[in-house]
Amino acid sequence: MPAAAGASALTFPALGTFATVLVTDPDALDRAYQLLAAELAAIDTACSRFRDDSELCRVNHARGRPVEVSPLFADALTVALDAAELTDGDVDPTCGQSLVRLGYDRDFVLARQRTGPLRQPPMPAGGWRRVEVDRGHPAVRVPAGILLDLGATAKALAADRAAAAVQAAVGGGVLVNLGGDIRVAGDPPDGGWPVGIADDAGFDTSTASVRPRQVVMVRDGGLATSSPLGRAWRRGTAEMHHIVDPATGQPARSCWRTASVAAASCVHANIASTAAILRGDRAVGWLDGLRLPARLVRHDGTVVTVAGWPAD
Amino acid sequence: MRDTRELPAHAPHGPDGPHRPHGPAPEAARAAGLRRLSRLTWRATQLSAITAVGFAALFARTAPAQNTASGGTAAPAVSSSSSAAAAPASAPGKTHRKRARTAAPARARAAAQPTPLAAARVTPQASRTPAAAKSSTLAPPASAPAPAPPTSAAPTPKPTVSSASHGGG
Repeated sequence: MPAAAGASALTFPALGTFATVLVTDPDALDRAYQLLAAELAAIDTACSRFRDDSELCRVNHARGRPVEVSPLFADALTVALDAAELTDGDVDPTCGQSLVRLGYDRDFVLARQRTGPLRQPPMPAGGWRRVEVDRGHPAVRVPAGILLDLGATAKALAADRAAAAVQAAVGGGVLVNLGGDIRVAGDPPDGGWPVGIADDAGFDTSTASVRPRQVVMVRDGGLATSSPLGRAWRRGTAEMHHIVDPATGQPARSCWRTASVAAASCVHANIASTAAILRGDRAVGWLDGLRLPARLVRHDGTVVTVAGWPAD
Repeated sequence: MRDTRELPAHAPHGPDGPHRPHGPAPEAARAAGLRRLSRLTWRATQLSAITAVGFAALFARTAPAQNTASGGTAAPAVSSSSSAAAAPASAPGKTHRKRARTAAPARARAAAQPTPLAAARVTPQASRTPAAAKSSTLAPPASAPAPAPPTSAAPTPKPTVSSASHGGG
């Protein structure tokens, strides 16, 4: 097993957040960076809601016509639809129009600068069962009036894909962290990869950093953290955030300020952490039933751990 | 003595009785007016029907899509009282409610009609990349996260952080 002391890390901005790659073989860092950067560029071209040249924009503006897409986009959309199915529609990729109505209609840095009151009522999700994917060609049809937003799962999918690609190319142990969505692959350092768990209430805007409340050791799979505090903005007197209740089209009102979940993959961890925010108190039993280790933080700071997640 | 209220014998009678003092012109005018009113009513009905069909088609095309009964989420009430703090300032208006009602049957029909793409919705597992492999349930990791070693044996490398504050989930 590689020694932890041999691990090397590289962090760079990507997807409106940061990307970090750690490898246990220091000589593999450059190659790992190249593979990760290529994966991020591909996922951005396919799934960005804010790039006019992205496949997602093409699909969203096709007015109900079938659109030929890349295998990567078909994968990303299929994963997003699976997320909806696995959560009974709680994590719904057809919330794009809801987010637009809430003011998240451009890159987040620009969107949060607009603070005037919203002029349109909220709009519920369009209905994920109405989206069609033909993986043979591949092609996609989104009914007119529905806007997809793959933000909830596309980044996690990129973490899974990048970690697998890096590990296949350079061997050893790999950790990919995309804005808090983490996936590890290969042999970890002794004891596992140390991962700091933040609950986002302590985010320091002056340094754009947050102090971890807990450090856990991760040996396999994925880990993701969701929070209504992470990507939040204000319109008029209303507080907004990016985790939308599909039934109402409004920001979810949750008893949790942060949900961190470990799973077999980053996609599954991300789906579970997002759904936990949406499900509120029901999330405890749901996560426990699935044996998904989780750390949930209430707004008053109370921590609830589930399914073997270590206590603080 | 003759009853002066009787009509004179030479007084003209029409088919409906005694002729009115002004002769046949008002009768014809009344009939013409009724025919005109009938035509106007008929045209208004036609115009209403055409307008209704036009708006229904327009709304079916542009109305916000909403979940059908099988859509996995409850049918949305656009005006929600669940979040006074988070609700945007403007409330849904009459136009929006009307649009939702009008568009619903069209959407239900559209959802019920199978399409070539819908037939391909269920995809074989083999066609997915490994990272996108479908699972029937959310799968736990092989091993749960473990507590970090005591501070005296601080882990290396430096911990990477899982947080939503940097733009993550």
